[in-house]
Amino acid sequence: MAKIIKNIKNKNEFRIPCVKTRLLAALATSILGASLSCFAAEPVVADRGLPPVWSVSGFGTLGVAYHDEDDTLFRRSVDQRGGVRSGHLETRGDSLLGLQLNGQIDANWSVMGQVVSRQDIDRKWTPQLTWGFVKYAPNDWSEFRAGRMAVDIYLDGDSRHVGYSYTTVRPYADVYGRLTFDTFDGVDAAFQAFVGQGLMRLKLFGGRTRGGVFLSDEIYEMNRGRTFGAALDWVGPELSVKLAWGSMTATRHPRMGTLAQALFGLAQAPFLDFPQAAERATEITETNRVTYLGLGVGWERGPMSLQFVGTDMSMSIYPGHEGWGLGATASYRFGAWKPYLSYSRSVIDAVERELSWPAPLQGGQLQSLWLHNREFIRHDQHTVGAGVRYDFADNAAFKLQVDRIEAKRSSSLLDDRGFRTGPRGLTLFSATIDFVF
Amino acid sequence: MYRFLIICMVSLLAFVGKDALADELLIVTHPESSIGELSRQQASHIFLGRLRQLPSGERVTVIDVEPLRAAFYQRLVGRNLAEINAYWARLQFSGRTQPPLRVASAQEAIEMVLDSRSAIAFVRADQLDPRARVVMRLGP
Repeated sequence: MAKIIKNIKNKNEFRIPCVKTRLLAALATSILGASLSCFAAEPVVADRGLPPVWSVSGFGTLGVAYHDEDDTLFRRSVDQRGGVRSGHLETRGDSLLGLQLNGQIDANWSVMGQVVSRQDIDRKWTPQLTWGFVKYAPNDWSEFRAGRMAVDIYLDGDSRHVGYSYTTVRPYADVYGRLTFDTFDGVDAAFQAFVGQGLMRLKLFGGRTRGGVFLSDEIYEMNRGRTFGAALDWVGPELSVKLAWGSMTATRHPRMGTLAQALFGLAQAPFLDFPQAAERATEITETNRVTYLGLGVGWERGPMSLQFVGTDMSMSIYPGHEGWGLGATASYRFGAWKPYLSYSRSVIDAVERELSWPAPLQGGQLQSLWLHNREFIRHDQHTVGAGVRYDFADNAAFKLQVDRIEAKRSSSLLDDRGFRTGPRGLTLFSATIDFVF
Repeated sequence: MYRFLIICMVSLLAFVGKDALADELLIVTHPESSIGELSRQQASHIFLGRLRQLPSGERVTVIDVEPLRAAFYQRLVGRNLAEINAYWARLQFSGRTQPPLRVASAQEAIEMVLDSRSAIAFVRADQLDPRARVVMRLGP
């Protein structure tokens, strides 16, 4: 058995105390905390059937992108402050590095921690804890986790950071790039059963929302909000279907309180005759809620695969916003090569709230604020893409992709001042190397 | 002359048949494993990490044999190895489950299977140890 253990090729596990493993262990433990380092620093038990077993693994993307549309910054998601500027070969938009530590404590208990370093909302590369949980899985039919996790909304796994796991350069920026409150501190429970030829899985989750959005040259943090939701998926031999629902609440932006107070004040001003203002002010709630409903369908037969995602989204951020998104990808694998075509679109519009401003207030600061709230999230953008993935090694893939992005208005694209854009059209060229280790 | 032709044909058939048999992939377990036989669906769920337990409730230890992985997954689920690797990245980096152990040779896999009641692996027919239990056959 000892001979077998020496030859086990799953080299990321703490079986062979080689330099690489120790280096990775040291990196992981320094980031994941001293409490775990005492376990990770030493080789532990060899056989996966005899826990505890600790392993370090990771993933990363080296990316470069280019477009030449003036006064436009392309972002893969709205939690990025930086992006691809016009006329620049940009390496920071898609590049990232992730490191993961796994520990199987015994047959039922395990722990996992993952940190990702990517350009964040402050344009820094500070590693962020994206996953960190304790899992109890007493059998195949139920499992329970507590800690930091990601909401279960993606068809290609539960993370938008692992480029190697999906076909295209990045998940649909029009759809998933807008759902950035995808991490939470809380609990989830998953239940699984055979249904037909496949396995059906129901997951319930809830906790404190984490994440943020950069828009209108401002950061909107969601750290004090709550997230809860459910995902139901079925995986068969060729078809997989996922239905996901999530609801995230957060305290409102201080600006909303100012607007509400000002409207109340104006409604009481006898000389203005502006009772509508009070009506509008009562509609500005203390919290904002983002509700998401998504359907994902994947079909794979031999070298061919098709994927479709559709989402419906509503946001109570005053005056209220309704939106939808869809994405589709078709691909065909020829050995190591996998060419693909993709299309995505998303639309978000503000709910109309009538407010007839009295003449003395027209063109004033308060009306500007009112109009800003109505406009700043509005979005109508679609993307047509074509590309190829080349798996040049067992754990690495090179991707080349061209996207044509057309926007009537966009809150994903930013202008040079950091504000949402009006009509834009750009051709984005991207190349990445995605790897896992 | 007829006798010579018949001998040639029988020899050729035997040679081709032997190769085809050797090319067959077998899923094997410990001789006292609680698995009697596996359906393709059950095998897919186990080797793709969706099920981690044997019907008896025992934890299963899945073993991938490096040189046979491409042929095995192509036959079992009709997927290219690059797709299987991407699939495992999805599961691994969302904390769902860890990929199977990988060993460098069928011999190591056989030794592990014979050593552990919970182990399950795949080998070519000509690499089979008669002490291991065959629970599924995947033809060429």
